[in-house]
Amino acid sequence: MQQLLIDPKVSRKKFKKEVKDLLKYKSELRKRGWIIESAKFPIVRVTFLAIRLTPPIAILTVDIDFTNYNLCAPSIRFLNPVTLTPNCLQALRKLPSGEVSNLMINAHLDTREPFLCLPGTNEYHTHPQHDGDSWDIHRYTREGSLFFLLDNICKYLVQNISAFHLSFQFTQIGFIQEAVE
Amino acid sequence: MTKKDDKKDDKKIEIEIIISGTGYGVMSFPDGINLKGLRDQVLEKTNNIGQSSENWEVRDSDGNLLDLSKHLQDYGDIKQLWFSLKAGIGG
Repeated sequence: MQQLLIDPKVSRKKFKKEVKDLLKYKSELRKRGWIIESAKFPIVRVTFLAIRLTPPIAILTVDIDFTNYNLCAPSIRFLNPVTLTPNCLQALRKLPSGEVSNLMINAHLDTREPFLCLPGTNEYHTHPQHDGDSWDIHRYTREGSLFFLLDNICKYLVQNISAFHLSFQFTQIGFIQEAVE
Repeated sequence: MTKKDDKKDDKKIEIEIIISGTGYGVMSFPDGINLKGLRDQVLEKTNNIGQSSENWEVRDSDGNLLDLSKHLQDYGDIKQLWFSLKAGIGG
């Protein structure tokens, strides 16, 4: 649990606004594979489906925590949709240089959980490697808004899943008895 | 082309605008408008000018990224436009 740095009433009010905006388009977002499971302060839980697959498959669940918002950026936990235990997937991004980078890092120094290393997330702004890119610079730009975070999670972790890769392996469980002369 | 034809070409399309997940109501555009021009016009009208317009993407209601070099009419019967802010460089 995060330490409280501002009056929860402030965060709650901002949380309500973010959730109200999102719920207005719940049905459209569902068509994109965003299943809004719950929104109880301070956490919004959303499960993402890979809708390009038939049948669609649940790829991951995220808990977005608005504690101390917007003094601090929201914090994101990436979870297995079934067990709700921490889950690490690749978040591939093609840079203008053509280089592909993975935005998911295995373990944050504070939480020891996988995190999305992207401006607008608390994990990014609290990481020592990004102490030159303060949340204050992004705070009023809509980076860190609920929609922004979900949109980028979908873009880098879910939308790039477009096909199954199946491999078959036969397992021998017995032998056919040949006739004995 | 006659003036009458010009007016015929200026068919207006009403589209709901959603910017960063927030609804801004329905706006009317000529169907021949270039999407890049539409993006800039919408961002200015809605006072979303803190970021360069180049930092915004435009998607349809299914989340498909639209090609800004195309015109509104190229996408047929479009009801909603979703504006999303591109993320800064992380990693």
